[in-house]
Amino acid sequence: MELLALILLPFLAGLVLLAFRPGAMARGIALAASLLAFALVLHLWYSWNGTPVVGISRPWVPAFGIHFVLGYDGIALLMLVLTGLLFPFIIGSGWKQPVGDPSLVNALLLFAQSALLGVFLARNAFLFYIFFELSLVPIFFLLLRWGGEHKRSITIRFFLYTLLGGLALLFSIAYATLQTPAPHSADFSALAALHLPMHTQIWLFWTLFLAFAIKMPIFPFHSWQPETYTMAPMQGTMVLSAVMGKMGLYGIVVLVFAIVPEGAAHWRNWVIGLSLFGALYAAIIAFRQEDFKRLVAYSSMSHFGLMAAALFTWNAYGISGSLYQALAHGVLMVSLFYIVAAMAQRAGTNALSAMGGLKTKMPRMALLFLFVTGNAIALPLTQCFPGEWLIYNGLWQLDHWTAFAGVALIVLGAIYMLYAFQRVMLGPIGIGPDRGLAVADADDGEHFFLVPLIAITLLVGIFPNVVLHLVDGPVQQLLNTFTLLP
Amino acid sequence: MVRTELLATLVPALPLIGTFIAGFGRRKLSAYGAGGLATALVAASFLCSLLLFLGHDGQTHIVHLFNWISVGTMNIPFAFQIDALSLWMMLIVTGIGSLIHLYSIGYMHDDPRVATFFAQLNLFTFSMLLLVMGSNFLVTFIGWEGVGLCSYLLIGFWYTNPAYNYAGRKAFVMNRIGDVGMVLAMTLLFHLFGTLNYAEIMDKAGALSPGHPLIVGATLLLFLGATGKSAQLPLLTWLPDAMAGPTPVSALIHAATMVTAGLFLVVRSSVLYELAPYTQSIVLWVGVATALFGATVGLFQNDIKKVLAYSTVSQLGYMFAAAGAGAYSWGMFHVTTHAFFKALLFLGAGSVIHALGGEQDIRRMGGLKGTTKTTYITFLVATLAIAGIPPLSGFFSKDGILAATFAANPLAYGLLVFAAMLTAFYMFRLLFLTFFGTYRGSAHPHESPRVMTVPLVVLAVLSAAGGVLNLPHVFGGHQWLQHFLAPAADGLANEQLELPASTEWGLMALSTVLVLLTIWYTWTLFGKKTTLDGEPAEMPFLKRLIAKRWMLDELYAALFEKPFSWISRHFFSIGETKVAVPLTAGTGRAAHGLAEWMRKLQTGETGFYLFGMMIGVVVLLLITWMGA
Repeated sequence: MELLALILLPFLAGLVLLAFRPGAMARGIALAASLLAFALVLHLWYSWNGTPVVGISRPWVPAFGIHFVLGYDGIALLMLVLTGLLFPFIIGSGWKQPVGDPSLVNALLLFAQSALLGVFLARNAFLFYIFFELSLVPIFFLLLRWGGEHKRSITIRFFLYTLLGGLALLFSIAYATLQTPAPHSADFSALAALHLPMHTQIWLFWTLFLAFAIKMPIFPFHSWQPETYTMAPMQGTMVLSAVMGKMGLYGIVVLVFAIVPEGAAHWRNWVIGLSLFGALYAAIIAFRQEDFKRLVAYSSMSHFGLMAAALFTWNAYGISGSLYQALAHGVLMVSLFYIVAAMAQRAGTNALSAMGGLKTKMPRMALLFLFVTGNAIALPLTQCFPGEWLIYNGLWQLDHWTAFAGVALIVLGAIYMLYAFQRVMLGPIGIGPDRGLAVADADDGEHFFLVPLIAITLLVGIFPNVVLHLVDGPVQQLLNTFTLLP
Repeated sequence: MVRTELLATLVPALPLIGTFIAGFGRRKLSAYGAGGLATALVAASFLCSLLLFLGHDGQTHIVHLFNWISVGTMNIPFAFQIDALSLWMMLIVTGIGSLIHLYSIGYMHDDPRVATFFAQLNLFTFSMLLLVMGSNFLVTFIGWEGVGLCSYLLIGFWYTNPAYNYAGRKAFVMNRIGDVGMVLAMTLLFHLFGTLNYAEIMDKAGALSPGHPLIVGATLLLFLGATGKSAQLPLLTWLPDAMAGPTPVSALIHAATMVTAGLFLVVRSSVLYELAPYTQSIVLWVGVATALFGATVGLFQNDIKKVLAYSTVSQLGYMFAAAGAGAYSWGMFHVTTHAFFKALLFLGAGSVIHALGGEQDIRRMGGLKGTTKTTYITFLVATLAIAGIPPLSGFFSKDGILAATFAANPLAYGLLVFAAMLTAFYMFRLLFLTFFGTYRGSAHPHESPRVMTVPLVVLAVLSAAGGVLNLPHVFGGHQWLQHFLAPAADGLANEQLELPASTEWGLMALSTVLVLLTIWYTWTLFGKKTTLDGEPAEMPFLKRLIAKRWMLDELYAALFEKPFSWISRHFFSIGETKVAVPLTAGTGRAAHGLAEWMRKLQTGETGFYLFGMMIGVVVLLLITWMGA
């Protein structure tokens, strides 16, 4: 019951906003709803006893094996925490950086949250698929309505590109379901029990994996990402990078590893190679980006590459590190894109060349940005460090040279992040015309947004076990299934 | 035990508290308030360290605070290791640290961001303490990265100057290149030993045979980390640029403490290095090469801080040469005496710069011994110490290193003696040009306030008398520091460097005579300089090469910086703009065609359908659920 309530809560709140159009009050209502949803998630976490939970299981379209099954394990719970934690921030960011009509924007955000919670609660592949695609709809509207330059063509391209992956996913799920013994079932448990022949797994792996590779994205399925992130309104970018990309990681764990483990074993070196290459490639590109937002977009892609590679290492450090990093990356991206928007609002553009020397005018914002930069380059005692450390251990256990390639990111990350920090904050002020006059330091609203995020960053960085313990059991189970592979 | 735990926690906690108070109260605190508070907290931390030191019973105490990262079989505690080595470093860091904090009250009091300065200096002290106190590699790594961050912040403290920001980034990125080695070494060691705790690794390593390839790999990777932090070849070009920071920062971070972290790490893992003779010889030769590199470049520098920076590079080379020769305790002894006299030299340089209103070029100094008497006398003491004149502290520590390298490799010994002569040359050139002859500048020199000269005097006493800490046997001493440090690690305990007494006397006499001759030669060149010379029109090739720092910066720019920038731009302009995006655009165009076709069938509002689909699914869900 509470699982269904969790999904419906944001959805109904969104409907209320659409029905009553409360104007500026919409943000407050949306924030309250998302906080309530987070409280529910925390309640689930608090009452969780470490074993998988099935809350609801009812037949829906039994002929196709579609059942309405909601439940969660530690990995799903981690993703629920991610969604629950970040949506109040994403909604709250609208206070300082309003996107457009507050009733509609917040309704769309709540619909997206509802769908995303559904994705992470679904225990039936068709149900998962429905939520997976539904989550796209509100974001589609958000981008189409309030995006930047070329919003129409970029949004359509993005939408169709991801839909392409989605269709392959739908096909794969249908195919796998039909292979289950009659009566067919698309429940995760039924699909995990499948033992598809190797020649099937080899192609089915790609049709399943494609949607998730695009969603994260990893190289070379990323080409929609930089332009979409750059064009999207801030809240849209946040949802895309901080939460929706994680559907890719999650989908790999619950579907790819479950349905085609041998296919994954067959292809995993390729996936690791592509992901790591993409991570390095994006980090190198980020260095000379002239557009602040696009720079952060490439940094997000670089992080995703590392997470995806680690997920395929198939050892405890790599998988735990990757899942842990899903949360850390979410917090990081929400803070970074917020700062990008705050800077762009002051400079009137995303261009780094129009910024510089802003620390003189806004020492507090510079300090906040410095904390976020420290997290981005994974300084120890920030949230990103334990994740990267575990990922490097996972890569090392897999192959020493792969670990070399991965660890090179600590240099590349420092190169582009510190350069970005310098170009925004340091140096002499007033490079451009009539600048430095209207630039105000971080105000209460911005503190109210960034300080809690930074506090989370430090707390989790100091006590990462709180998060790591969530995934301990499920990761061990995954590893057990991998060791049984021929 | 409870007392040890409390004190060990207070030692790093006090400076951290200072960071928070000075940082968050930076608008409310006065310059003296912030400086006084920060200094008092570091001094209190020194007192706690001293109490721990006095209560030390030769045993290793682990102070466990909490479990930091636990996954599978990995459990990395957040814990401190209190033993002779960490205690000794804690005393140096907090002791020298409090003197430099005190000095900074005078040096920085006119800066508008003085509270921020002290907050960062306290944060540095906290990080450095974590580095030396950590009971495992990963806690050390917290401090390792923390000092890197503080170094970055303090180099670029005057952040409106782009050159300073560049220097800060350069320092951080070069350190991060070293960190690649550090991180990989840690993963390697973890997978080899199943733990990162120093005590356990050193225990388990005893069972391995010398020359084990993974140990060689781990020690080499650790050493890569050390070369970054301690400015050894090839990762040294950041340190001279780091002089962009305020002078007390150069004294504390870029001379006395942080840059010795690399050596500390090598000594901490000396058991592993003892198992890897191959790595040891690399450490030895990198140390020797760096000592020569720094000493040669120091010869022709005209910026007072740059001379000292290259001197630091060179002296760090000595320390690594000692470690490579297996003389870890002599390396640590040189860390100690170098902390005294190099901190003193930098603070003295700061006092001179302060006296001349910001002038750093020694060609426009001269004759200052009359006007800045305390600075001059203390600077003279430090110069004698670093040149290795008996009986000052530097003589004993440098001679111990020379004797050890003589035992290990006579060629290395010869090169280090040569570097010692170069050291005497560039240091006395600096001394003579600054304090002797006649004043060649246009400022009005004045002695610095008491708050700055008192630390100078304390450091001068330590630089002069520091030798007693490890007085060699041939002088009737007991090599106290060596015996004190010995229980901290097997590598330290196994040092066997006994040369015949006659050989030791001979080596000492030789190096002392050579150094004295060099000083006399320097005097004839620079002792009575009264005029300012211009740039010589034509310099010999070798001299030009050395004066240009062996072209190392230019080499790195051509080999790494420019190609990287080029790749970064072209990955984007070709890989992304010309390949990746057109591919998606192709998908988009094809889809547009499809949409046009669909438009004829339907209304064509994709969005409307999507919205309808969403509502439909939810209604379906609800009906199903109600009905069941």
